[in-house]
Amino acid sequence: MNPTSKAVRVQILKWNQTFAIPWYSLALAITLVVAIYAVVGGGASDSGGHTGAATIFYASSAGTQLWLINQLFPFCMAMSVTRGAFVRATMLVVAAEAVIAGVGLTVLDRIERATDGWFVHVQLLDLPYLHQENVFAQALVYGVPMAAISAVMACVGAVFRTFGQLGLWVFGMGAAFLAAVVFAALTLTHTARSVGHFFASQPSLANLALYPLVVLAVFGGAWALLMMRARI
Amino acid sequence: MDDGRPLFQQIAEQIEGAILDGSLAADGQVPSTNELAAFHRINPATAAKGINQLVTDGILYKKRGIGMFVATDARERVLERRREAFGRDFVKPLLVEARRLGLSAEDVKKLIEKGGQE
Amino acid sequence: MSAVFVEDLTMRYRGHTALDGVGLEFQENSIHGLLGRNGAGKTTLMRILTGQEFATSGRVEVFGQPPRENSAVLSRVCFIRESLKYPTNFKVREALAAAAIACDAWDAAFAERLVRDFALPAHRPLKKLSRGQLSAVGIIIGLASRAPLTLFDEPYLGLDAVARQVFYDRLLEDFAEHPRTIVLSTHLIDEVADLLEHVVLIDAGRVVIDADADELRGQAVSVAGSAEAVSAYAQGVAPLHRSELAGRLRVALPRRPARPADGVSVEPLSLQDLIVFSTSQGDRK
Repeated sequence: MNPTSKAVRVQILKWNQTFAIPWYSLALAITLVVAIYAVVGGGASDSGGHTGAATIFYASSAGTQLWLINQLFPFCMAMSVTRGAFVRATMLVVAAEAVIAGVGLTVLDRIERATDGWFVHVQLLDLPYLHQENVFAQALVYGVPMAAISAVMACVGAVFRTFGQLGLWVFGMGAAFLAAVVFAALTLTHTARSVGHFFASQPSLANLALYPLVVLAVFGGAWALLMMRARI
Repeated sequence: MDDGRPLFQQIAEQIEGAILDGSLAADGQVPSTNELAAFHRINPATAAKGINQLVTDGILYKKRGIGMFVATDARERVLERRREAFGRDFVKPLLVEARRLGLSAEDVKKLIEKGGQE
Repeated sequence: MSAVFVEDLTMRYRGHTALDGVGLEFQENSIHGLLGRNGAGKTTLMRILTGQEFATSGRVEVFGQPPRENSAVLSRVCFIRESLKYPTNFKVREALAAAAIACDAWDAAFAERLVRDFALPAHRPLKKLSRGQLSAVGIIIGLASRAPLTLFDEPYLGLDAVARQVFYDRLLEDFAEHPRTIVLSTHLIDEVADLLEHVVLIDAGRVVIDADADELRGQAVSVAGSAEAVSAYAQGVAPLHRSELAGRLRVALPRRPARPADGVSVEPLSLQDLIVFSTSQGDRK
């Protein structure tokens, strides 16, 4: 068995308590929301009710990467798994996770549409902004942000492992500072509006799949570099 | 196993002792290296060294594929060697200690006779 | 081929040299003792051998190749440390399952027997185990891995004497049936002295002793008697240690002097004493 697949198998050993969590959360969210709508009957108008409850899917996936880096990485190193194998394995697992998220959520989304909002006219997944006619595009819209979030959280974990608490603080401050600078620049040059227009005028596919892909590449790349040098 | 002499030597001497007192019969099989190592809680390589020492001395011989066996004349060999060493290992220290205590050779002889009667 | 070959290995951290020009060799299929005080550099050396740490300079070869990021080599290595960090939400059997995945030569039946020998609750989360039980998990992983190079770094923290003896017994048994290269780093020298074939003592980042265990055992002696007689007898041999009280002198010598012992008692020096006396003791240079 090659080293990468060994690392993958170790990473998914406790899939039930890590990668499956977003699905359990989503199931719970759907059940609760549908139950509430069924009982309360709110938004029974033709437009139906929107709820952002589905974001719990993404939110609950954030912890997994941190766990992976802080708990599983030192253990894998102790089990003679190389850093390279661990990094490659993580990439494979994140990619698989994103694909499963994309496909799974698309399926649920189509079910939601077919059942007219889970029989209670509620829109959890088929939110206007996310709506794609093409199934493949739909999967991208659901899946890529998942991978991007994993990349960001993984990078945060790697910064913590490499530079410690202080490093994380610096990273956070640096990010906030950068955001402030960008915001100030936009405001001062009166380009804020045009930037806003730019993003608004982009097709949602670009905003939800393409730009997150950039985020994924940047943070994923930084993460990989840090991991290869991380102290055990 | 905390005497200063090398462990393998102590193992060899223990086997010789067993041959002397008859626990290991001539042409009988000797415990394997691994068995000895586990019993004495020592490294198998050390046990092997002890066994090999005895093979070199002609006390044991190897039957390939089966194991180690006691040579037919092993007991005689051990006796002979130990008798030779008796003077060096036991009598000399006895006389040194006797001298230290101020006992003459005569006194020592008397003690030996007394001990022989007990 | 030697399992481990190290030449002129140096490891420097900011303001501190952990290893200074270390050179040694561990032969295959033998039990080696890596001894030394805390902070002497034993753990650093083991971390470098297992690719978890990268040396500042020098040559390191495990099974003939540098271990750094080398899966081919590292898949044949298992390193059990006292402070092994398990994922806190793992259960005992999950830790063993992970080891089974990572170690190519894993023997599941052996692992089962060991779990019974150490009376480990297989379904309990690791974070609920006592310190001794956690050590037992590490020992089981190290033993059942059958890794061609297995390193144990003080693996018995919290284990009582009985459990430690179980470890030594299982180690010897398994080593006899399935020879492999074992490196055991320990403070409890007398407990393992009979298990070792080869002894390396590291002190302040340098190799102080590197010898066959049997030879070491036979060489060093403790000489006691009147101060005069002992000094005369020990003439020409630098003592490792001396203690004097009311005209009586006791010295530890690294080897027996050629002259006959006259008026002094000469006893073999235990491996533990030899190691302790050969190690620097802070203020003593």
